[in-house]
Amino acid sequence: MLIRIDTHGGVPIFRQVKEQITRMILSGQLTPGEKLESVANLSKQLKVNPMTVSKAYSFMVEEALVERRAGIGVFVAEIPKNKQREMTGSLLAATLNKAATLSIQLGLKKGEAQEMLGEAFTKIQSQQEGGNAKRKGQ
Amino acid sequence: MQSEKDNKKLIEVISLGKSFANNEVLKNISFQVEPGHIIGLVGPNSGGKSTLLRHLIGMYLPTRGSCLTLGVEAANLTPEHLANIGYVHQEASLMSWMSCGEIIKYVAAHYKTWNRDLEKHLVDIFELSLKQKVGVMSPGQRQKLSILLAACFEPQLLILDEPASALDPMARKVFLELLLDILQDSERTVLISSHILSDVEKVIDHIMVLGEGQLLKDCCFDDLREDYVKLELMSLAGDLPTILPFRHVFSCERNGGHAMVTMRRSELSLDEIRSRLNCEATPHPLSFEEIYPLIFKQSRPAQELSHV
Repeated sequence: MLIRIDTHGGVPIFRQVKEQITRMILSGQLTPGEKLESVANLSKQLKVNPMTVSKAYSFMVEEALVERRAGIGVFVAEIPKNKQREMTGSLLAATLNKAATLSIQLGLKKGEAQEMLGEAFTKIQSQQEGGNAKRKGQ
Repeated sequence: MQSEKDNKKLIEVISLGKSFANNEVLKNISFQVEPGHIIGLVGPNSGGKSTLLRHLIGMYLPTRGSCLTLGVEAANLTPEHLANIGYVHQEASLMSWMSCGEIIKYVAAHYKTWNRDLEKHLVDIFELSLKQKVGVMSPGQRQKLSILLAACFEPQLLILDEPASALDPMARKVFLELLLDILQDSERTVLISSHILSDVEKVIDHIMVLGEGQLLKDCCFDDLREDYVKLELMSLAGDLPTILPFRHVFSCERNGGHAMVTMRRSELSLDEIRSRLNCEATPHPLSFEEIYPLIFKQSRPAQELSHV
């Protein structure tokens, strides 16, 4: 698990750990049944307090993103489709809210804002595809 | 402090007061420390941090109240108790005529629990020269040596008073890793005082803030960080209301439909704020360096600041 900790941004470390692992789970980078790094190992790797990692895991257990199996470790849970959508929504909420507010302030109509988001989406997707093609060509 | 696995207290300070002549340095301080934590003690210089730590090992005696360390009044700690407490202080006074290697051997001989592997590891990684006389070592080297001497006998309680002040960035990194290694054993606790906040921020799980002899905060570090926020408000139509519904505000910059409010977390949820003010509300977390001065500052209700 590749996790980056930023100590200057102000977001508590346990939240950063939780959010990055959540993203890995929702994007399929971590699959159901996969074992997470142990608290001791991950805290050593990130050079943070073990309590911090343990707290991040506990929050994910509460949200049923992972399951704790006594004496074995913490595993990625099977997440129902509707829940997956809900969690993806909450990961995106802050960014989308900000874009929507700015659009309203600038006097855009809903359709126009949607169109712009669509354009941005297409642009990034084609960049990504271009990058993939290049890598394949190498 | 709460701990599920163990309610054993390593330190219990009850209504501790300390005066030197007529100068009251510590005022009515109470707190408890349990095993398995790294606790940061922060506060301005001459705020009483060192004085407080010295009470924990019986170097100072309370004027009022009491101070129990490992369950014993600190004044009555026996050599057996002290063998479980490591203490590093700012101006490490080591025997200057000994060489670094001699002093390590000398101190190691006093402890059955001395960890030779850790000693070798730290000598190596701190780049200590064993033949060098302590008297000619740089302040940074002396600090590294004192950390080694306090850590290698693996005390249950490690008290570090500004341990990293003279360390270079590389040694600081090694030092923080050492603290985390110590915590792998959940029975042990580290209490570390510092005025350099970035030193401790990444490794502590609990924080105590001492200012003018008073304990201003004693809480989980994450809770402290989430208690303060910079809230950005962007109105969806026209200007924001003149009076904002927040009770604990430190500063508020506003310009018509846009405002940045630095405050204690509101009792209103973000959705409640959004619907009441017809705006988008985005919380921006504050770094510990930004929160720290706010701890010493009085917050005010937003209406008293609304002219800003």
